[in-house]
Amino acid sequence: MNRHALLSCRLRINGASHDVEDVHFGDTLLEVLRDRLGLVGTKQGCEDGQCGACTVLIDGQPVNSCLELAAETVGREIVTIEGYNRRDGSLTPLQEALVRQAAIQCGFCIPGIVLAAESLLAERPDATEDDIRTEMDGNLCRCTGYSSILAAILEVAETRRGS
Amino acid sequence: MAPDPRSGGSATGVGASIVRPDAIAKVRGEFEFATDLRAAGMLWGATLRSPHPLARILKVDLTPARRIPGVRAVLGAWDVPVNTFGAVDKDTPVLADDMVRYVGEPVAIVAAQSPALARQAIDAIVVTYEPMRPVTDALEALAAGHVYRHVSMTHGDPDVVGEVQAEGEYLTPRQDHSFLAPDAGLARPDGRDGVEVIGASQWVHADREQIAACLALPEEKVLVVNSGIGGSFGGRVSMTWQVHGALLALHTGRPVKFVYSRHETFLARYHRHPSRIWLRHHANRDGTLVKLEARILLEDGPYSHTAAAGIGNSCSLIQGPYNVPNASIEGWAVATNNGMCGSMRGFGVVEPIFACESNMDRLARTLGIDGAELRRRNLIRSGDTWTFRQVQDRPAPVSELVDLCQAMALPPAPSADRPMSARVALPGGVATPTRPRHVRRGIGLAAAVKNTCFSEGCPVNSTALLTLHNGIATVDCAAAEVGQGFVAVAIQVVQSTLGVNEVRVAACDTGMPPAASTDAQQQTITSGPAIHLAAARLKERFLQFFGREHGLDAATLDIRDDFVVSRQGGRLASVAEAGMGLVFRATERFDQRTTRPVDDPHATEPVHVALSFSANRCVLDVDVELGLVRVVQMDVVQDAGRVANPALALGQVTGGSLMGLGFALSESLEYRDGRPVNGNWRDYRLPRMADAPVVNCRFVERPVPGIPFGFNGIGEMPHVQAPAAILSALRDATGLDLPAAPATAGRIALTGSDAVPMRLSDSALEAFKGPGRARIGKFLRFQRVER
Ligand code: FES
Ligand code: FES
Repeated sequence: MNRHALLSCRLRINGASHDVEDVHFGDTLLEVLRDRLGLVGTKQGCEDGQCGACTVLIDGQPVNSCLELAAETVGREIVTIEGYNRRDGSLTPLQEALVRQAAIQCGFCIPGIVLAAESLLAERPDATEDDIRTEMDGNLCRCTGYSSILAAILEVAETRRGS
Repeated sequence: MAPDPRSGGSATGVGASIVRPDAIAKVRGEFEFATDLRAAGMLWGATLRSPHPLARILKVDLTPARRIPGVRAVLGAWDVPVNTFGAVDKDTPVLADDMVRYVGEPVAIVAAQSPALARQAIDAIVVTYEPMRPVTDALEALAAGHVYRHVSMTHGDPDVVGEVQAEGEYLTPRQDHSFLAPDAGLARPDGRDGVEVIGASQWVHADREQIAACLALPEEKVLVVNSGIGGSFGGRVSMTWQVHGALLALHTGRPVKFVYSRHETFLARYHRHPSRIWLRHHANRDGTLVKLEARILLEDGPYSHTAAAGIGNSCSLIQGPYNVPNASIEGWAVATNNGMCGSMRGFGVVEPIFACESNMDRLARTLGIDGAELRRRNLIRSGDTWTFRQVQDRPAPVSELVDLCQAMALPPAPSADRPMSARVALPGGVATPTRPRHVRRGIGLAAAVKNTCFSEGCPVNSTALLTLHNGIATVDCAAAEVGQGFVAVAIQVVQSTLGVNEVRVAACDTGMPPAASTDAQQQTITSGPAIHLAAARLKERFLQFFGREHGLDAATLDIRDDFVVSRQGGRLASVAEAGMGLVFRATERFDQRTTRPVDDPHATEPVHVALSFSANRCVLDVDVELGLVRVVQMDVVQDAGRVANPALALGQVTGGSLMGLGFALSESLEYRDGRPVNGNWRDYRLPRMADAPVVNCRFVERPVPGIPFGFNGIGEMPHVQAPAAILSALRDATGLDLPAAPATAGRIALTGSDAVPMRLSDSALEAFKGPGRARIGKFLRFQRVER
């Protein structure tokens, strides 16, 4: 396909359809979400697949949206932090645990961490500390030293196991 | 105190772990960071940067860029009214004029209708350079006399010789702040010939002063606003896009937004200065320190930036938290073309503590004494005099810190048959090729000291304005919240002092009176007291009003938990009702004590406002064949003055320790021939969750005299101490010298060949007594007259 061709795309984001005009084939999903649709809860940290700040869920899987071409996500179900949040403003158990464990400092890494951790918990409800350390390796946080984030995810895993 | 890691609960005030007020918005991704700003009609900015470490600019042709439809402005150096700025000294060009002096230096800027168009316009600009040979080696810079500041000081009798000596030379890396949010912001015309600059700054008032000067505008025409800041760590004290954005906004009459890419954030910004430190400890056979000789070489960039303060910190704290009766200390901050260097968490102190502690390990080995015991014998005490002629007139509970640290429980020994599923817990982490039989455990201990607040004559103060209306208090204090949690501390101080629990903290901008910079772990100890004083004054006014209204003596009244109470504690009225809808205000300023340059032989003031101490024991496993390391546990005991919010303070310790771990093991921004080779997160290795050790923390609270609540700095210390403790544990496990950080797998596995040649020892130094002391950049305020 011609690199410079402009496309119009219909993207499924947070349960709604969005028509985006004049998308370059090379535009990343991150660029379209943030710059075109104003969904700025998804963060840009490195545009290089290294930090996970741009994590969104595509068909339930965590994906670095900076590495995903927007045009190639047509027809797939995209969930951003805006779609993950509860409508009534209350926090999910994972979000509550992150707040309780004081895992939020600058908070720039957090939307990506919430989505990555939620899909980890969905996939592996029995996740151990070692599993979490392994699976969350793609999400950088420069502020917390991770121990509070780890404690929060573990707390949710344990609560779910207990119930 | 062992801090509870959890926040929340019903407790309020200083000492409670209240939930920070921005937590909910942040965890829902609704908190607005500088990268997220938008405005109607907004243009996108982009920057053309130098590809050369040193070159003459022969020609800049902007016309091809200007011809592109949708490009609204293309500006060069000649469009900047006053083309220099700087955090301390104004010697940094806004846009390069006749010369470029580092790779990444801005040369031209554009504003266009989309980010893609802006990038296209940048690519269209034609610059003709004449490359020159850059200075890329700090020793060469020293020989050539490219010195920003030379510090020379002696203490006691510099000619004394100890029975035993230990000597070494140590290297530390160019560390990048790597805060998660790239440099970004928005500038817009204010409609009255002025400009608003909304971004992420550690110190809005310092930015305003510089922006206004560059634009040749009066300061009141420039409003600098902080939006959400995604981490800082000392990295946002110098401006990047701000003047560019303001210029483009004024030229186009439209809002202009900049968002740097990560690579650009590496290029455009300063980093921690690499250091080379030689030192020789003299001691008696029983381990008592007799003398310290030290030479410190800090590499700074082509512009002076904060070079002078860095070398001042280094020279003063190279002695570590030890009593050293005699000393001879010399330091230089030199200029090279390897990109900009400047302040970062533990500024100028991480390096000397690393060198001092490394050499203390060497001295312990020479003496055949246990490292912890050697340290314990020499720890500084209250009443001792530092090498920089400052008496330690405040608490110095260092031996208590060391004892508590050593008393903490050690983790279980590594087992040779760990299951495969736990590979993440082994050296090398996820998917490690390590073999358990090659793994050895090491334990190391380090002690550290760090100054709290700007030192050496920099005035440090904050002003706070407090408003009380309908039972709700609002704090106006221009202290930057960069993620550290000052917004929570501000609330807690008001709760404790005013007795009102509903407190809001206004967003920070230059419309407020100035506050201290979020730097040098000085915010809680400086702005905290300013808020306290304002709250105390407000309470006095409020109670006087209430007393008058009700015919009561104000001296018998108090405010507790949102109620006016009598001396007996009976509730008289809620604050919300008692205020009768009126607005009560108080504004107060808090000044730290004044300080003097470290090498001023005459002045009698202290050099540092306050000092904080810590001890850190590190336990790690290392694969001695492959050089892979897994830090298992760090036990941190920190002198914290008074802890305002234990959960947040603990977050500083865990976060700072891991940043120190990065410095110790993996983080180094390398330059080859003046060009950065790993300015991205693929190749610049940051610690990840798999690398994070268990951090056990205790705070020892010794209130700092003269400071309301007795606060001290907390945020930098964990980073200062971690590298020294980690390297000490590595030496314990491997028997290697490991004089250089980061101790990468290559350096650890390369047994025996890691010696750093002594380039700064007495004899070697002779070669570097260059002819004159021509400086790149201007004299700094601390620079002494030539000897
Ligand atoms: S921005 Fe996508 S991984 Fe960093
Ligand atoms: S909280 Fe700042 S990067 Fe994670």
